[in-house]
Amino acid sequence: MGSPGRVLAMLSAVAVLGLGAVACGGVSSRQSVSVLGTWTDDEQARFADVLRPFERQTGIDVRFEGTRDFEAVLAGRVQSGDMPDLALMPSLGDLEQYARGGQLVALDDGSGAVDLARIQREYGPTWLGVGKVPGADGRDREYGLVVKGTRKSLVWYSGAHYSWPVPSTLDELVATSQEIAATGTPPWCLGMRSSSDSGWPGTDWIEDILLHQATAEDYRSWANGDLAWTSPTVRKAWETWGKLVAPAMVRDGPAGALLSGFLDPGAAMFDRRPGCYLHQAGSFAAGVYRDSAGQPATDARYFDFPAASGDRRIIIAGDVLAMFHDTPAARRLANYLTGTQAQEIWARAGGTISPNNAVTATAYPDDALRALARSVEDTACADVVFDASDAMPAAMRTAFYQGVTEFVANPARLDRILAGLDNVRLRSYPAVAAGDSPPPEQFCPSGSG
Amino acid sequence: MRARPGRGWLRGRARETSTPGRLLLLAGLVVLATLAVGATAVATVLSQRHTAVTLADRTSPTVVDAVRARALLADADLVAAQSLLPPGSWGPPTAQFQEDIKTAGQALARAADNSTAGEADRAQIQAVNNGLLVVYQGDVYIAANANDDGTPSTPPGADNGAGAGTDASASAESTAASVGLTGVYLVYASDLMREPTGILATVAAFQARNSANLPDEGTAPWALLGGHLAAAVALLALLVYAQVFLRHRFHRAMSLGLLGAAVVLVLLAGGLTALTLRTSHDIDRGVRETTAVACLWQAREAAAIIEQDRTFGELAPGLARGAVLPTATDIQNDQNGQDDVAVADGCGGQAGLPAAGQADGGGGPAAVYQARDARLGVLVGERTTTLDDALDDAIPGVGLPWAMTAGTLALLALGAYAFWPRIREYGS
Repeated sequence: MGSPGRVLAMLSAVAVLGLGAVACGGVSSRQSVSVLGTWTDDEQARFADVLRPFERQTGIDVRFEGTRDFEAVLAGRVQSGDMPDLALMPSLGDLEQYARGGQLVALDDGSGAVDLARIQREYGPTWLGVGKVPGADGRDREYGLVVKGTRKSLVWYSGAHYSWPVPSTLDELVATSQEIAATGTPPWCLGMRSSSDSGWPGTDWIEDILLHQATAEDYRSWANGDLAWTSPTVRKAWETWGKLVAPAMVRDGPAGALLSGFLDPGAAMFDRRPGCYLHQAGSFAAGVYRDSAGQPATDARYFDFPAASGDRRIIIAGDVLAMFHDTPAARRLANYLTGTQAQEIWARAGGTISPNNAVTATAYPDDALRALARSVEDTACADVVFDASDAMPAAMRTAFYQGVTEFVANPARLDRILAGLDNVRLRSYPAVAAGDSPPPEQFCPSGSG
Repeated sequence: MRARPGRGWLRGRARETSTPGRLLLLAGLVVLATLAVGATAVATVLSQRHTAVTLADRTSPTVVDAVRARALLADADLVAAQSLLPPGSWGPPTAQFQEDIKTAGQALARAADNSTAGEADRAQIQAVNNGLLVVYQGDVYIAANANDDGTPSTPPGADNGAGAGTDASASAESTAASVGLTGVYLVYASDLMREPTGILATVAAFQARNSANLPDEGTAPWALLGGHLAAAVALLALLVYAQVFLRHRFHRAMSLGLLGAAVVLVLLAGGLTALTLRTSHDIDRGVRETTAVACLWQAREAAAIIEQDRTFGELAPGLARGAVLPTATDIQNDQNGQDDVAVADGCGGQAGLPAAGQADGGGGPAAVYQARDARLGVLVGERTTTLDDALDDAIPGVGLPWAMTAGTLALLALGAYAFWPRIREYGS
C-alpha cells in the first residue's frame, strides 16, 4: 500500500474510533420514558415484571410513578406543564378531556411508529376503538390503547358458604338477596371508600343494573350524556339498587359500606361464619380475595350479573395508554405494552384480562380468568359496553361518585340527587352544553358485533 | 556520586546552571507556586460559599417549607374535624382552615421551586399542590355543606330547589337509616391527607429527599484546602531558599520583599484555614438548626394528627379511623416516637422537643393540645430565628475571593520586588 493509502487507512481508523466514542457516549446517556399510572403495591410490582424484559432488551429506563389519586395528580402535572411521557388512564373521560385540550399525541398519525396495523390484527374488536376520541380539531383519532383490561358485571361468592341458587334474572337477584337477609346475615358485602375516588363501587352497581334492566343502547345514550338522569330508565336503576343496599342488605349497614375500602368487605364472605355472601366486583378481584384472618380464599366463585331478560351484556373497563410526549422511547414502550410478550406477562400475573387476542389461553393463571377473557371475546360487540363512569367527563364522574355516596347514606333523597346529576350533565358534556345531541357511540368497529 | 533523580533537584540544577539561570528558575518557581496558592485559595472560598449559599437559599428553606406545609395541612385537617363534628365548640374555624391551606400551598410552591431533589420530586409536589389539595378541599367542602340532618349537599352545580317537596315527605321516614355524610366526607378527606400515598406522606418523602441533600457534618472543601496548604508550604520553602540564595550570591543581608511575601503567605494560608474551619462549623450549625426547626414542625404535625384522632374518637366514634389511616408516627416513618408527640428520624436528640412533649397540667385533652401547640409555636419561632442567624453566618463574604486574589497579587508583587533588581543586574 502506498503512502496515500496508508493516510486513508489511518484516517478511516480515526473516524471509526471517533464514531465508537460517539456511540459509547450515546449509550451512557441512557434514554428514559416517564409513565404515570394508578398502580401501587402489588399491581406496581406486576407492572415492573412486565417492564423488565423491555428495559433489558432496549436499554430504555422506564420511570413509573403509581398513585391511587391518578386523576388529581395528572391534573396537577398537566397544569404545571410537567406531563409524563405516557399515562395509563383508567378513565376515557380523562382521555377525551386531554385529547380535546390538545395535550395528547394522536397515535394514528400515519408514521407507523406505533404499529397500529399489528394492534388491529391482534386486538379483539371490543377493545379496539375504545381510545378513539375527538381531538382539539373535533376529529376522532386514536389517542389511547387499552393495555390492561377488566371484565365487570360479575358477582363473587364463596363456593363453600353460598348455598342459594345462582340468580338468572335481576328479579331473582333481588329475591335471593331478600331471602338471605331474612336469615339475619346481610347478603351484600359493599365498600365505597377509595381515596380520591370514593364512591366508584356504587357507580358500578348503577351501571350494571341499568345495562341489564334497559338496553345497551340506553346505557350508551346515558353514558354519552344524551339520556337524562331523571329519565324513568335511569331512575328505575337507582330504585332497584336502593332495594339491594337497604340497611339490612349490606354488611355493617350504610355507614359500614361508606367507610369500608372497596375490596375489604369481601373478606367476610370467606370467614367460617360469613358476614355477607355476595360481592359485586370486576375480574381484578380474581385471586386476591382473602378471609378476615388474611388467608387466601380458595373457593371464590362468580356469576354474571343477571339481566332482566335477553342475552348476556357485559361491562368492560381498562387502563388506556395515552401519549403526552412523542419520543422514540415512548413509542417503543407503547408498542411493547400492546404486544404479546408484555400482555402474556400481565395475564400470567392474574387479575387482568388482555385486550390482545394473540395472548394464549394458557397464559392466564386459572380457569376463572381464562373464562372471563373468553367471555369478552365471545360476547357480541354490541352487547359489550365500557364502564360509563370511566367514560364520563371528570365533572360528571365526580358528581356520580358523590351521588351514589349520598344515596347510600340516605336513599330518600333520590329526586334531589338525580336532579343535581342532571344539572351537571347539562354542563359537563361538551356536545350537550353546546345544545347539540351527543355523537352516536362508535364503540364497535363496523362489521363487528 | 550522582544525585538521585527527584532528590536535591534544585541543588542539582543549581550546580549545573549559571547564576542568572538559577535566578530565573527560582523566580519562575516562585511565580508558579504563588499562582497555585492563589488558585486554591480562591477555589476553596468559592466552593465553600457555593455550599453555604445552596444551603441557605435552597436546601434549608425547601426542607423547612415542606415540613411547615405538613404541619399546616395537618392543622387544617384538625380544624376541619373540630369545626364540623359536633358539638363544634371551637368557634367558626373556616378562616383558619383557609389560611392553613393557603399558606401551605404557598410553602409547597416555594419548596417545589427551590427543590434540589430533582425534577420528579418537584413534579410530585406540584401535583400535590395543584391536584390532591384541590380534591381534599372538595371533600371538606362537601362535608361542610352537608345538610343539618346529616345528608350531604347536592353534588356541585345541583339545583338545591329540585325535588324539595318529595324530599320533605321522605326525609322523616329515612332519618333513622341515614348516615351523617359530614363525617364520611371528613374521613374521605383525611384519607387523602394521611394514606400511605396521600398528601402528607408525599410531602414527607419530598422533604426527606431534600434533607438528604443537606451538607454532611464537617463538610468543607478539604482537598482544596489541603492543596492550598501544600502549595503554601512549597512556596514558603522556595522563599526561604531564595533568601539564602540571594544572601550567598549577592551578599544581601535580607531581602525585604521575600520577607514580606513570607508574612503575607502565612497570613493568607492561616486566614484561609481559619475561615474554612469557621464556615464549616457555621454550615454544621445551619444544618443542625434546619433539622431542629423541621423536628419542631413535625412535632406540631404529629400533635395535630393525634388531636384529630382524639377528636374523631370523642365526637364521632363510629367513624373508626385508626384502623384505616396511618398514625402520625407512621407518616413520619419513625419507629421510636417519644412520649405522645412522635418525632421523626434524627429529631430525638433535638433540644426543645422533650420539653415540648410534656403535657401541661390541668384542663382537658383539647386544652393540653392547645397549650402544647402554642409552646411548640413559640419554640419554632425561636429556633427559626436561630436558624436564620446560623445561615447568615455560614455564608462567606462576597469579597473573600477578591481578598484572596489581592493576597496573591501582593505575593507576586513582593516576589517581583525581591527578584527583579537582581535579574536586571545581569541584564544591564
